Amino acid sequence: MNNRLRVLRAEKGWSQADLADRLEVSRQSVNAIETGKYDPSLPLAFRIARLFSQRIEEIFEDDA
Amino acid sequence: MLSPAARKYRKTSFMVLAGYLVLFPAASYVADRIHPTGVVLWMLAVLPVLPVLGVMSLMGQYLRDEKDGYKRDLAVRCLLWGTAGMMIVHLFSGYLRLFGWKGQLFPFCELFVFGGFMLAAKISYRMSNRVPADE
Repeated sequence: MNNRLRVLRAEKGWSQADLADRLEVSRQSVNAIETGKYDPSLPLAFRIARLFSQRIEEIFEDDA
Repeated sequence: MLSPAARKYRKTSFMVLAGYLVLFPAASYVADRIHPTGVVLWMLAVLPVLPVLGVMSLMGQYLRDEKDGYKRDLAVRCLLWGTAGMMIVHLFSGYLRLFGWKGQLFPFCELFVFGGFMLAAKISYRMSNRVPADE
């Protein structure tokens, strides 16, 4: 699944560690999501969407 | 960095495994002294297994408590690799005996392979998901 997490994070000027703290996950998780190695759970996707004040589908894009 | 669930799992599993270090020599000592048979033999053999069951139960608790889905995913994958390794050794030794081999693998071989496969999987995932310096 493609996502705009890296771009959105850069716009806020946050490091991966900053974002990980705000989402209460590990930095490895943030890195894995950004690099497309891991698709977040639905609750985490909602947390990300709330944090950036966007809808989930504006951040995550289905490959299909 | 360890999550709170991982820290709790590590601490409690060390304590449970310390129980193994007491139970196994104790059961072994009693077995050597009284050469038990029947129910007593079975009960003695069960004693050192209890801490291992405890660690499995703690692992289940960790998977339930871990809030970080990515870490939970990795733990499950490592467990699956460990289980796969254990099954391979179990099937291989079964076929060896089926085809006429009279020997036997060393005790707890499957358990060591389980741990080895889990460790190898953990190292492999850690290397393939190396986190770059933070931007």
